[in-house]
Amino acid sequence: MKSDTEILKERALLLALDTGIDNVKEDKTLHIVEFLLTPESYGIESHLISEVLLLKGLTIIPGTPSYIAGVTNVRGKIISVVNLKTFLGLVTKGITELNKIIIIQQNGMEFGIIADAIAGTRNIDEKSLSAVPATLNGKGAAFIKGITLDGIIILDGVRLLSEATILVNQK
Amino acid sequence: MDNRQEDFLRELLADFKIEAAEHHSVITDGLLKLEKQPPPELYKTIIETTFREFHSLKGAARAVNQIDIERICQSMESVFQQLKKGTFTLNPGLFDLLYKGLDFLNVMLADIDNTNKTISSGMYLPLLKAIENTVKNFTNTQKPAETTETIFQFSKTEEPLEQLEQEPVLSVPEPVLIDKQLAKDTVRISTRKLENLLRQAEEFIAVKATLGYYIHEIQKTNHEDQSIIQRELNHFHRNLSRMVDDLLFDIKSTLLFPFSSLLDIVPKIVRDLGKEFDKEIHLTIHGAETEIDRRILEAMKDPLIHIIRNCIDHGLETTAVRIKKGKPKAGIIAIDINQEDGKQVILKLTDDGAGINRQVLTEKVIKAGLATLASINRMSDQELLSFIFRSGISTSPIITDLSGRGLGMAIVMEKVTGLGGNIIVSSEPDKGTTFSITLPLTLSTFRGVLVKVNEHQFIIPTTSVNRAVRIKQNEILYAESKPFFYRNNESIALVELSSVLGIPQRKKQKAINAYFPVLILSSAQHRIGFIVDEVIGEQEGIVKEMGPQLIHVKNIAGATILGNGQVIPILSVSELIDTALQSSTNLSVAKQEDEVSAVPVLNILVAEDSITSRTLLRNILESAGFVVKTAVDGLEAFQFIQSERYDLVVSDVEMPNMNGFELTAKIRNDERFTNIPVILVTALSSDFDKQRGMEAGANAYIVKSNFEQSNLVDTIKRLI
Repeated sequence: MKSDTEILKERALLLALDTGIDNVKEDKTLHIVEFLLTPESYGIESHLISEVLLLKGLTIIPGTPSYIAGVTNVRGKIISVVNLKTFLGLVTKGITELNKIIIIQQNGMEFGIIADAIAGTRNIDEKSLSAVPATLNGKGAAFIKGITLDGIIILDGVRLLSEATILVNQK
Repeated sequence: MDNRQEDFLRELLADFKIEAAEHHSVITDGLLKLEKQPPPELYKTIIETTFREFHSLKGAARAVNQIDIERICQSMESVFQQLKKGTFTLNPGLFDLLYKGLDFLNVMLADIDNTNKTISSGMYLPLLKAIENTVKNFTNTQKPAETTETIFQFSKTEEPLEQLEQEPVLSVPEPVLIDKQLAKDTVRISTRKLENLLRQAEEFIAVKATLGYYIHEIQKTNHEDQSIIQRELNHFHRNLSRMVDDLLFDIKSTLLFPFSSLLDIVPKIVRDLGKEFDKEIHLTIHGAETEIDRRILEAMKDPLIHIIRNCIDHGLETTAVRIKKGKPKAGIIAIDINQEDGKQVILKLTDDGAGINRQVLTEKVIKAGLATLASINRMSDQELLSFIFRSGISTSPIITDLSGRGLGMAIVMEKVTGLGGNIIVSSEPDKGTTFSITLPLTLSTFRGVLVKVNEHQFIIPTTSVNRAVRIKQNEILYAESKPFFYRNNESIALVELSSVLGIPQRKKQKAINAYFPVLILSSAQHRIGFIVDEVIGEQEGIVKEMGPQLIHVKNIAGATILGNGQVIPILSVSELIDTALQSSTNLSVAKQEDEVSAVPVLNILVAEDSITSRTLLRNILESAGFVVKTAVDGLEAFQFIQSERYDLVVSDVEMPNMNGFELTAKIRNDERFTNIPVILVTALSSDFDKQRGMEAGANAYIVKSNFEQSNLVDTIKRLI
């Protein structure tokens, strides 16, 4: 049994914590790069992006999971390319151009995300994002920060880059 | 002393100089830190490190017979031993003495190659004496200061004692000069820097390949000036190739190390293990001067020690058994290293022990469920022996803490093949066992055979390609429904590379008389023939990783980049053979006769400029059973249509050179092709575009955004 003082202390602590988070959130403007992956628009934080390239060649690596679109040559360096739609378990509908790659990196992890087109950059107030809709359930939801009012799906790039299940290790 | 030995000694001294300089700098660094009075935790670590550094330097000096250096180290080491024990703590006066000792060492190291030594023992003995006195005075031991002999054996020298005590203040001759001398022969560069340099130099291989590619391309074009340009280019290519190869060779040689740096540890290991197992062992090492990439040496350390332990633990018999067998009392372990044709190194490790017991091995293999007795009986001796490299197999009846758990040889195998090498074991009962390890001279650059399977290209390391042959359909035989063929009286199992890699099968139109290109690949003792679509040729390349996301992909060892910038996966032959051994081996090529007659093959041409869309379309259509050819734009598509027969064309609308509307119109306007159905698949969804497509003569118009796989396949089936 907790004493009254203990409970009050806990509440005070929680309250103090809450305001802390709110303060951070208020300040949190996300700088994102918006890209098209037909038919949806996605956004990913620009500080994770090292470059955006026109996809010149894609080599399929047999035996890799279906979300690995292949590998490509970026000025002599080989980089794996992920099809986000497949990884997130979204319905694949339509043939898309998929001729751009967005290379994202953090803490030594690096891979390309395949995209149809780059729509531009913009600043988004993280607070303004609405929650992931119920239709986006399962695996995908964990990698989405939220959705903007105009329907751009904001990805959690840091989470993607530190996600163990996106790695391929068949040893 | 013959020249060779002299050379060797000189090399040893040079190595010692470098090693000593490293110890020296760590010690100096340690002393500087100690002087700043670090917190106790750090203090302890530094004392420990410095002690060990002195100890190592002393040992190294003794090994190359540098007695003076050894003496000074001995004296300073003992100071640190006291400090370690805590019987003595550092005082400021001691630092000066220690620094002076280091200065002496510095001069002596620089002097190593000179016959005239700057420093004689008379010059440094007073210092040693002074160091000793400081320790003595501080610790207040009962012993009188004169009894130096007990600790410092070397003070029993001819120098009169008076002289020692007369000169407690010391001067070190010309310490400035020294650094210059040290720098004369060697420059210390971190291996990381050298490796970076090597990587950059290796990039030039790609430049070389690119140029080769352009020369090849220009040959195909028709131009008046072509022959002149081509001659110039060829000349340039030859020159560049030589420059690149020379540069690479020289840079690689900076990373080469003699095997001796790895084998130095072996005599001690053999001695220790011999003692432990009470076996007398005679060790011989030949070819230790052979040089190889230091990264390979580092990686080979554990495998080598493991094999040696195996040989001693259950290769060599006990002395009693050896006498009974009439063998010499001492067992022999021989290490022989040879360089072969400048590209690879073969390390042979032989013991004259009991050999591998086939019967015990057979039992273990059956018990582990790796093979049946019947299949073992059909195996060659080599194949049976190769089971020692499978995990779970050990021929040692007793499990010792050293070996016998049956994991080790599997790891050895993995390490060696990981380096691009190969390991083979041969063994004769009561005569001994030989492990023959083939290693590449350097890591990373390699030669490989470029093959094509179903429009995918792969490279297979040349070292693993036994032979490339062509076999006919009627040469394929079956045993227990497993296909094989004979080559030089040897039966070789046959598999399709595409099915081992899990690439969708494509139906091929081939006459029964057609030849299949087959690459015979080998790892350990397994040899398997892999059917491919085409052997394109041999390629030189750099092994590259496929980015941090793809840590390990089964059957794939890495990738390389061709002259045209294309990324080609490099196959891991040992994994490929394992996969082939595990998978069922049905050949689609062999069954083909029936299928060709039963199902008519439908050829579809896909024109699409986006690589991914093209690949996607191909996969969809191929898995629906069509034979697919792809073109990058309308122009290429129309060229294909003119040279081959197609049952249907699927085309994108927006393409360079010739768009889908134009292509459709061109097909319709040529009476030879006017009946070929055309499906336009496009992002343009307006009614106007649709109208345009229909006007051009398209049979169907599918908008990409509402495209579904079955939709396309259904449409195709309706049209043909």
